[in-house]
Amino acid sequence: MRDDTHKWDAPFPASSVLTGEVDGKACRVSSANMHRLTLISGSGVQTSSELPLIGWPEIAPDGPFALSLRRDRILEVNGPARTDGWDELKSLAISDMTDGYHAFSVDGPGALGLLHRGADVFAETPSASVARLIFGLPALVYRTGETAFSLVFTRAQAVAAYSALSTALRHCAPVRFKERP
Amino acid sequence: MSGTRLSSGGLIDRARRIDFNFDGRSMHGFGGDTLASALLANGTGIVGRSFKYHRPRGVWGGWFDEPNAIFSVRTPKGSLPNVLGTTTALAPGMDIRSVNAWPNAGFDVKGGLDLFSPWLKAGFYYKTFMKPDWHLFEPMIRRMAGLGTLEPDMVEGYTADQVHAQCDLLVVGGGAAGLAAAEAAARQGKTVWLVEDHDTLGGGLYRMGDRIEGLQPTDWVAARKAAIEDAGGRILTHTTAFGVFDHRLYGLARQSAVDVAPTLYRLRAKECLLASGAIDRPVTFGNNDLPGIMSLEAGLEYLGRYGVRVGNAIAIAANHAQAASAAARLSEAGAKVSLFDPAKGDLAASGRRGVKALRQGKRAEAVDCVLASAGWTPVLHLWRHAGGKLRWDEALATFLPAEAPAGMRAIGAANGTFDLDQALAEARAFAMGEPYSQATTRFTLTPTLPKPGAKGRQWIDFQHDVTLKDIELAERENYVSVEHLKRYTTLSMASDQGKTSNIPGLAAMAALTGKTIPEVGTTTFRPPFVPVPLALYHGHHGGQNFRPLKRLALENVHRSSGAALGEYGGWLRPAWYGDRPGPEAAQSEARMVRDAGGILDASPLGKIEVMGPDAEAFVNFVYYNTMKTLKPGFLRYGFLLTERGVIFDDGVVFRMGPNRFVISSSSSHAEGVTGMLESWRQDGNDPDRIFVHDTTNHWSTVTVTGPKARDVTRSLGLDVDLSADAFPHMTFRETVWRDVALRIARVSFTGEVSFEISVPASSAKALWTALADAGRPLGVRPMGIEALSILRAEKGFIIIGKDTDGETMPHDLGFTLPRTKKPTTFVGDRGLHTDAANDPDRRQLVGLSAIGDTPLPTGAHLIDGTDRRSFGIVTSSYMSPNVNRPIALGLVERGTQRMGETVTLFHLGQTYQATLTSPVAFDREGARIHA
Repeated sequence: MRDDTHKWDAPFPASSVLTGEVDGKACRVSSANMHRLTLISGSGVQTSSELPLIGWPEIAPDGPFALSLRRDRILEVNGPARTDGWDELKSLAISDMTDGYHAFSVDGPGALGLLHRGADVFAETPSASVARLIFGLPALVYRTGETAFSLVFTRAQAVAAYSALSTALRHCAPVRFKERP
Repeated sequence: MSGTRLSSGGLIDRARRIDFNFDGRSMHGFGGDTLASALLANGTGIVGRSFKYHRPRGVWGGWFDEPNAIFSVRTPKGSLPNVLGTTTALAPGMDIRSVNAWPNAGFDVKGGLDLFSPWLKAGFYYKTFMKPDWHLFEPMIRRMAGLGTLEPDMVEGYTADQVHAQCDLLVVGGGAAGLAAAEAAARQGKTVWLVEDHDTLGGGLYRMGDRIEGLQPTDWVAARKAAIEDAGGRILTHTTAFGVFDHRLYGLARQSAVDVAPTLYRLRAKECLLASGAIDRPVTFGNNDLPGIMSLEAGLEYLGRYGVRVGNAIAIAANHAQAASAAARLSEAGAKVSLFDPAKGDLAASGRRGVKALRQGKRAEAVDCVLASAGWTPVLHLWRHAGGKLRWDEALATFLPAEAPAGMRAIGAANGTFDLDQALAEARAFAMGEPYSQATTRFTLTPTLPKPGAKGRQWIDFQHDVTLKDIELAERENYVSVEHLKRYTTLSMASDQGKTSNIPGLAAMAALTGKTIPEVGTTTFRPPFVPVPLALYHGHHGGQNFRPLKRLALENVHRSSGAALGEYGGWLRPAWYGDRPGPEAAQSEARMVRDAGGILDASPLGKIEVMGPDAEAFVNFVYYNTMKTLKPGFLRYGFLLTERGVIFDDGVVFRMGPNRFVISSSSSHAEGVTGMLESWRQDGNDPDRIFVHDTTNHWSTVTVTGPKARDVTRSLGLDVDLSADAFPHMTFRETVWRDVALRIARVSFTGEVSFEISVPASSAKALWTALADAGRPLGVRPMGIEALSILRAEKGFIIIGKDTDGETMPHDLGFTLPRTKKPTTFVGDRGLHTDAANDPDRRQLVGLSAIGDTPLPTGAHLIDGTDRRSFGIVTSSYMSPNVNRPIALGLVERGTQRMGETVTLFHLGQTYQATLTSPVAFDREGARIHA
């Protein structure tokens, strides 16, 4: 029976923004807003979705899209409202997960460098799934622009992810590589 | 030893003077110096003391193979222990201290231990300190052992950056072969990383100073560097590839300053060319550990890189062709050089605090430095990490690469290609994937290996004081396996991990046992190749980033309500509320719930959806209890078992519809249960007809419990009839509250009427606030986990993992029916019918009523009077504010048959008395839960 409150920082404010330099390049981390997330599973879900299916390293469009998680599972982002439960007609399992995740937007020329502090993700290595471990935490990692990424963590681990991102940003070594011509 | 800084030569920056202290003496070096080169330039002979005998030791090597020059270093940022002097760059203001010596390495009062060396042979500790008890001697021996010590002013903020990276080709080693290979590969368009552990490229090119491909070494290196970078290659100097791990993952440690933690690169390379070079082997001869005796390669390195001539009168004891050219090089630098061929007779050095002379037969030369080389040993640690094989080469008297590991090839000296022109051709061919036939080497040597039975003390492992006689002793005592030899003598267990001692040790054992060296074998090569700080591995995963807890959506609300937060099952949750001491607050909250009610954040409870046409059969299969008869709108308590029949988790199952269930697992097991369900879904079931979604994070759950729970819940204005008849225990309803979905269940972990209300997490604050506002005037306030623990124990409700162990089965808790009556098979079914499951002496759940007013200690053992055999254990124990006496739960052999029995308990030297009772201490009829 111990009061450990002081050992843990209070959850970060949703409006907080982290900025810094990674390998000499600017990088910014902020919370991203996604108004509807729907987890859908089914043997044919990858082909039946009407939304653009995003794996790695595809860039997600501005409108609704679906993240490919595994061969039988997607996460619709800002897609149409759906009823939770088993869809007999389409043989799909549907769960609202809008409040189940917290997304961070990581952007700027140093964004990929920050991701590399915690994850083994490279544009040269495509994957049908956006599911990754980053800083040891399960996450969905996808691109939203040439130098912009979205990192989606379960809500309960968002504070841990924020702490890991901010600590990594603070400890980035000033390493500079010459770019390939 | 009389090291001298030459007025010219080397790669150092003589315009940048660096002042430092060594063991209290002021010295100076130059930019580009290492600690070792600066000490040698200042004429320092003794840099440390050996581990066991405290013999004086000088610098042996020129780089990572150094066993002696280990220091404690203090910089303006703080102190660091065990810094390797040969690889650490000198920095202004450094205060360098020798280790394992007092007051300093030059004069060490423990140096007298060497007089006792005849009695301190290998195995001395094991044999001498066995009686009367090793532990009597252990503290003293531990105080004497070890090298550097952690000082109170240890460098703060020593946190390693960690970076993931990948490339087509990793070239390890920035010597001639590595540079040539990297350039060739980069020109082909491959993404190339070249790592070099020195801060300058060029490897061994500066030793002899010979031109290479018509250029001075510095010009040739600069040209290669520019070509590699122009082609997009990346060069990391001061970076050591310290290990190869699964799936071609290479660990790289990049050092900047000594008081800044290195950066860890986790590099995935499709291919690797190992150009890690070769190091000198020591010549084993009498007194070969004296300060002033060092490797030939090191002597040339200090001259070529740092402009330091390591002696005035130098004897070269080498068995290969490079000896003559090295002699010429050192003579040019102003040294008087004499050559000794170790193959022509036994050598012996003399001197006390440094070498004074070298003798061979009747020949004796007065020297202040001996440069020794018994041949070159390719550096193949990474090769072995990756699973590559080795072969013994008789001509070169060393191990060379044999069968290559996937994705790795060795080039240059690492491949036994000791001729520069051949190494360049080989490197370029391998880099471009072209065939290459190894030409006949011009490098020849006369194998020179340790000779057992030789006179005098001949050192094999310099740091750990392992001598040839120790190897002989090990052989006599039958420690002939190379792994036993290592552990018995501590051969190669020093911080240099046998880089200099391995082959001499193996050769000695081979000679003693009449085997070949390959038959003796090698010990296992394991990462890291060189010592790296632990900070490199953990990076910033410290403090809150080490095993971070999951956080509640309502955490800020709890904090502002004065909650004391603690870890419960991987979540940070309110333990209690208010400023009172925890035990007092928990008692008060537990009393409040029975009197009026409490509000609990129960959000971590699992909400795992199982959907699909086969969902019903699946849930019925994975649960011990029958679930197929569960009707929509109802809940059922049940157990998930392992295949052995042991309880894995408990919880309630919600039936949402014909093809949809929600499994409410225990709070700490949501991920484990999800994984278990996924596993069974794909094993023996049709995975296209069952889907599992863990939606725990989407929902927040607030539980209102107690006699006034209904009144508080009613304040939400739900369109649900909350009366006991309309909404009985173990049922649930789905509705909408303030435009969001709401799920409300009658399920209780307190034994009181309870409403478990779940809403999407973004609405949790509104729900909590509404309930807290409604509860306040009724005396219903927030409660923490500590109070919940008391309340559930009063009712005999278990917590999995606390009140169960790795053997507990459902029938041990009184849940017997499915085991004998469930008509369909289920996970754990067979395990429940084994002999172990039917053992009449199984431990069963009981209550314990303490005799006296003191609660029993959790963990206390129930013992019988004779031999104190434990026949049970207290799993939970509390002072109950509602039955006004201590209560406890326990697992006891044949517990249900022993009700009323008085037992003795033992814990930490104290004994207690208790009576075995029913686990239910409060409201045994269960009237309150159904109210």
